Amino acid sequence: MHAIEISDITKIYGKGKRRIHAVNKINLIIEQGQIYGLLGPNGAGKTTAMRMMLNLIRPTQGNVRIYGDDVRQNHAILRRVGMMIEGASFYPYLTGRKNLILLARTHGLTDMNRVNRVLEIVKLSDRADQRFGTYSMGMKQRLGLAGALLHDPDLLILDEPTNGLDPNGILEMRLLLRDLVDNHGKTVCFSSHTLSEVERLCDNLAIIHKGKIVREGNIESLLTEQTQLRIKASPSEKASAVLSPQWRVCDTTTDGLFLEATADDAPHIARALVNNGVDIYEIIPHRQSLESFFLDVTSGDDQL
Amino acid sequence: MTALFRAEWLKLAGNRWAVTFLVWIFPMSALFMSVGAIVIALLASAGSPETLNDMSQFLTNWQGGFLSAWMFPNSDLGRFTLIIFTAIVFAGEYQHGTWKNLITRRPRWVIMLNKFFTLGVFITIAFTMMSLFVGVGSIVLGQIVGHNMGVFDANSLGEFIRDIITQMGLTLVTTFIATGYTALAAMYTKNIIGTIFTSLLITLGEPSILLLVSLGRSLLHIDLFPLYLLTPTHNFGNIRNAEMGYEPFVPLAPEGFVPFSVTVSWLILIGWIVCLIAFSIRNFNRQDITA
Repeated sequence: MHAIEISDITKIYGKGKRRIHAVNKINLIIEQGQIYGLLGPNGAGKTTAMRMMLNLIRPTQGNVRIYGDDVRQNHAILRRVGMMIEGASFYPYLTGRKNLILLARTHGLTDMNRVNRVLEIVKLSDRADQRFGTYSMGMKQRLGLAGALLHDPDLLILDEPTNGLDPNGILEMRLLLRDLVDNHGKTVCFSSHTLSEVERLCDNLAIIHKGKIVREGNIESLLTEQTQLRIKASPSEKASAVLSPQWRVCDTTTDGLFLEATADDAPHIARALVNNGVDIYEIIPHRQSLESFFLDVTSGDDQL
Repeated sequence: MTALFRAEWLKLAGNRWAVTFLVWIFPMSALFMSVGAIVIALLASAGSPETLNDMSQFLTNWQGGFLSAWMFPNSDLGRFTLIIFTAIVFAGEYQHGTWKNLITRRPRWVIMLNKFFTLGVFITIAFTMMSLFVGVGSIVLGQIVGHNMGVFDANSLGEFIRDIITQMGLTLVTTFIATGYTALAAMYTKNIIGTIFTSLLITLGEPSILLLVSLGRSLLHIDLFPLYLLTPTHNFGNIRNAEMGYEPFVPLAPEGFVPFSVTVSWLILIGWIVCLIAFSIRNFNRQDITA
């Protein structure tokens, strides 16, 4: 059974000319026991998609299933989900501990030791009796994560969980999420626009742009799919003119010519260049970074 | 459900500034005033009979103190403070962005109903305390100043129980109606200040439907009077007049008009509560939570 199955969800705001597709026919399957990243620029539709997963927003069309149950038909399925959406939100006049007690009671938990346990996990025990309103951004995020973990959920849906955390906090969060998935069988779906974080943490990812998924899959295979070849040749202008009809020239720098091509294309490229009188000094497979891949797929509308 | 009630209670009671200055201030003021009056009476009893006589004039019978406290929430000041408090309770969830924590854990209708219920219990406790402080204080004061507080027997006790239940009922009914308006206002404005203004406008402006009745008759020759008869204001007044033994007074009533019975007025008020709560739940169920 899939942890999350999203079918054709669409969210449209406004009417007539002011109609905006915040999310446009997204289909997604997130298997259990993995960390899945939703990557996208600001306003891409990540948070709206996550809110629909949690039944906070009604989709204009489509549905979301969590562990096989439609979230709009069976609310109880959300009790298996822990979430933090758009930062941690708590009552500023209550202490961190009381905010968690309140959530525990709302959830119907009877074991209040769980509150202390999650405070320890997020390393907030010593500040738990201060009012939430006095917390720093990082402490708020930690409490938000504590709230999400409180009922020991099977699935965590976290929107930008590392926002406001210092480097140590980010590392701890990464280790914690990895531990939850690898050693406790949990599933994590999280969004971010921090590419390095996604690259380090995720097993699979989807890139959302303008409300649509433009790429989806395992990070390794996505980056391999987009392998480039770096070619040092002279004269470089002529090399570019020879190759561009057949391969996409991504960039031309002092380091050489970057072509969208696989290693299998190398002999063909070499032959074409030699036949046209271009001298070759190097042909090196160049693995694209997630950053350049992300920028490639989110630039312009041609990918949509 | 008990856990959910305790969660809401923790939230209400934890908002110390709001709860102190908008709710507990009434029983606390009643306590201080009662104790103060008793101390003054004790001091005056040593040699100032005029003061005792003056104080005696503020006292009625032993039931009076208990009942008067329950009338306070129906005053403009009482409604004003309760609207601010309920606005903080409902709109505060939007302002703090905390709805999402709650409605992913329990169905929305359960959360909303629990809010109404907890508020009702909270306000009942606060005004029961106020009623006790004023009532017991009045009796003690009556003893000190030598005021005749009336007979305490089975008859007067039975009458008192009936009166206090009516008064409590009226207070809770009007409080729930105001709370219903506030919950709806919170859903549309999503902030505390906007909710307070909108709820005040509806609650305090509701009697102005009489102006519409008058304008309808004189300008458009349409009789909106039957609509006025369905308003909480009219039915609340109808019940209070009947309880006080006053002649029914219905402004702009046509010739030969027969007012509703007390039972019908109660049913209309309860109908308002049911409709407002149902409407709040329906709207909340359909609302996108984007904060």
